[in-house]
Order: sequence, then C-alpha cells, then structure tokens
Amino acid sequence: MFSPELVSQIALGFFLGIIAGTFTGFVPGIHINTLALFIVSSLAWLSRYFQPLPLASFIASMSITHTFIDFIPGIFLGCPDEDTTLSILPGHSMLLRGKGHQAVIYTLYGGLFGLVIILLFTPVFVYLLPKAYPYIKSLMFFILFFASTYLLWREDKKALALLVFLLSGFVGISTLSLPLKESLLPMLTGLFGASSLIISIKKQSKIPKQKTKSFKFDIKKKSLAKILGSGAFASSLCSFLPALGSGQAAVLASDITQENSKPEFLVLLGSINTIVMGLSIISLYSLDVKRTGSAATISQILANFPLSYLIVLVVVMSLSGLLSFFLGKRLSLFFSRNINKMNYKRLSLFILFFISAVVFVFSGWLGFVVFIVSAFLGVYTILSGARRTLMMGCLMLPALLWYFPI
Amino acid sequence: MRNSKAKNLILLASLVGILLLFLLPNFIKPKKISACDINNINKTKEKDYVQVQGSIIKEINLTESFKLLTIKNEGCLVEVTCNCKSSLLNKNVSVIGKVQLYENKTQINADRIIKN
Repeated sequence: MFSPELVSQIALGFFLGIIAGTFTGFVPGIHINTLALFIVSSLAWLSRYFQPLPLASFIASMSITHTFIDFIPGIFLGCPDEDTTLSILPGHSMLLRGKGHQAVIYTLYGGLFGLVIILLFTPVFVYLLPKAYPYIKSLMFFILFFASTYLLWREDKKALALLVFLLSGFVGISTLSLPLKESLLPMLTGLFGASSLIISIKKQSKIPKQKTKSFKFDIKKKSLAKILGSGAFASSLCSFLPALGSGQAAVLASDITQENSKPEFLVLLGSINTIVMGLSIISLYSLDVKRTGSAATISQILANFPLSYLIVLVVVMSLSGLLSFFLGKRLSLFFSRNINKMNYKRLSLFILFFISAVVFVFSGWLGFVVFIVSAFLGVYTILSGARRTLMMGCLMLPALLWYFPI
Repeated sequence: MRNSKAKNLILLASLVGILLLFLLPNFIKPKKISACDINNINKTKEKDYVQVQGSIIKEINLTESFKLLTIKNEGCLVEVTCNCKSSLLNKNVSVIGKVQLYENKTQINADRIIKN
C-alpha cells in the first residue's frame, strides 16, 4: 500500500522526531510548538523533499517523546512547562530526599500506561465520539463554566483562587488580542517556567546526592487501576475540549481517585500528559479539532487525513513512546549522577536567561512584555500558595468568552 | 512580614502589567495595506497587525455573533472574521486586525471595524 520510499521517509521522520522531542523535552523553554512552527513555515521547501505523511510522523513522534522527557527538567531543575507543572511539588520533594530518579521513572511508567490507554481509546474516538460531539459542542460553554467553577470551588482559599484565575484570564485575553507571533509562548513560559525558576533561584535549594539503584515499582495493582481509570477518563475529555489541558485533567483525576501519595500522583501525571497529546491527534482525525499545537501542525501538513494515515501515526506514537521510556531512563540516570555536582543556582539563572532569549527571538519586544507580566503573576501565585493550575485561567477565561451563548 | 510586603508588591506589579497589556494595542499602529497586498507574501505575513479599507460586499453569519465578511478594495477581495452582531453589508469600513491563515486562505481577524 505504501511505497518503499514512503516507508523509509516515515522511518526517518520517526527517528528525527525522537531526537527533536528529546531536545524540546530536555531544554526548558523550548516547546514542541516552537519546532512545529519551523516545520509549518518551511512547509513549501520541505514538501519538495518529503511527502506529508512522514512530516506528520515526525510531529507525532516528537510530541510523544516530548511528553516522556519533559518531566526530567521539571523534576531536576524545577522548571516545568504548563503540562508538567503539577509534578514539581511531589517530584521536587522526592529530589530533595535523593529520589529524583525514582520520581522520573514513575512518570515514565505513567507515559507507558498512557500509550496502552491511547490504543484502547482510539476506536472509541474514531467511531463513537463524532456521533456525540455535536451535542457536546452545543454545551461547550456550560462544560467550560463547570470546569472553571470546579477548579475554584475545590480550593481552600477561594477568594485567592478567584483572584489568580481572573488575573490569569485577563493576561490571556490581553495577550491574545496583541499582534504577537507565538502568543502562547511568552505567556505560558512566563506563568509556568520563569516563575518557578525565579523562586528556585531565590530558595537556593541544595540538592543531595541522588540514589540511582534498586528502583521498586511501589504501587498496588488496585491503586494503579484506580489512577489509570480516572486518568484515562479525565484526559480523554481534556484532549478534545478547548482550553482544558493536562493540568486540569490531573486535578480532576486526582479528585476522583483521592490518591495523593507521590508515586501514584507521578504515574497519573505521566499517563495524562501522554494520553492528552496522543488523543488530541486522534481527535484531529475524528472531529477535525486542533486542541494541541501538534494537532494543529499536523492539520496544516495533511490536506487529506485518511484512516490509513491515522493507523501509521498511532504506530509511530506507540513506538516512539516505547523508545522514549528507555531514553528517559538513561537521561534521568545521567542527571541523577551529576545534579549534585552542578551549581544549581547558576544553572537556573542560565536557563532563565535562555528562555528569556527564546521569547525575545520568537515573539519580539511585545512578547517580552507579556513574558515579564506573566512571570510576575506566576511568582505571586507561588508565593501566595495558590495552586498553579489556576493560572490555566489564561486559556479558560478567553475560551469561556468565546463560547458565551449570547 | 517582609515576605508579605514582597508578595503585595509583586501583585501590584502584575496588576500594572495587565493594565499595560490592555492599553498596548492603542499604541501599536497597524500597517496600512490594500486588499491586494494580503495574499502577497512579501508584503504581509501571518500575525501581522494590519489595517485594510474597503466596502463589505458579502456577509455570512457563522454564529449569532461571529461573521465572515468579504471586503472589496482596488478590485481585490479579502476575507475578514469578526465578533460583530449588527450587519455591515455594503458599508465602507476600515478593518484593523491580525493576519491569519485558515485552511490555507489568508484572512484578517478583526480587532476593530471602523465605519468610514
């Protein structure tokens, strides 16, 4: 069905995707959307040498690899992106007890379980979801309103939660109305990345020697089934509903299971990150919705998206996830052995400088203003003790206004 | 005490920053272009902030408050999306907004539409 040339191009896209995803996952501030932007802007040139399917395979492979690797800087350096921000607290506290490597391994196992869930959910997304989606779409405002209210209602300090949610929402509304290239990059990097770095520089954490031997998967089968079930439910919703991402899925899933112990929570986060990414690509096929940057890029690459292409992309995602599991283990081991030899404060300062430069290059001076304002709000959120997921108001409030029924 | 003062200062800085972000569009001047320039890759790129003048010759209501307008100027046509309720058909307008690509077509996502 596919020519040998096409198969070899798909294989090339798959391997290059793993390399690119490792890079985007490993380097803080570089998101897959940034590399995807390069692909889209060079599409005319690339299409002279590559067919659309290998390019889409590259994006799928890079995206899944990214979801496995991006916990490593989140846990070891304390600089997560918006999808891994919740891993900071349990992950960092394990790091401070010399168990950073174990924390990463739990998220990698989560990703692996996530792959199985993607395979199980693909037929449901392909055959059943398109039938239900028109009804869901007509209720979109109410679903988003419920999700926002739920996020606020579960907080102890409700007034503070509302303040953080609204201010993030105002940042989102104002940023999206600015003539910015890559408008989400400065906003999300400022809110989630720069703010965590500033706090970790201020704290000057001393990282102890890390234990790298004898990992034991210390989660009971019943507990694992509970977290994976709730993770699958929450992340499948968040993979096709607008403005809801991995953070909201994790909050919802952890509330359903009531599992707050560190290993369970890390497995949950790892699985959710991978499921949301994988199913967003399936949702592109079944519903033509672009809920992640990767899905949006694939939609621009593929003029036609037949079922055979979807099968190829699912295989590519599964294999890249499997390889990323072992790759992530090696990288985490390297970090664990060397993290206490590094000057943590200097490293955090360097990363902060690096992501500021990335924002300036891709979004210009205007983006830099957004980045600074977002970083201020991010720092305030952390200092005030509010949950960082509330800052997803930056996407939820604009989406609520967009779907407002009147 | 020191921490709470710092926290309040950072909150104040955030509020001032957000206000600034809302005010910024008023100080950014859009690039004035003709409708014919929209599809010219040398003159406009995606996310450019532009102003186009012309008359609205077609109006499609995509939802109750979301419209797809077609503007004619110097013999060229350009599509504009807007969150607008009242009809603008046959009116001469200036559209200020961002250039966007939708299904490989260049459109302007209107921030403001000024009737001339």
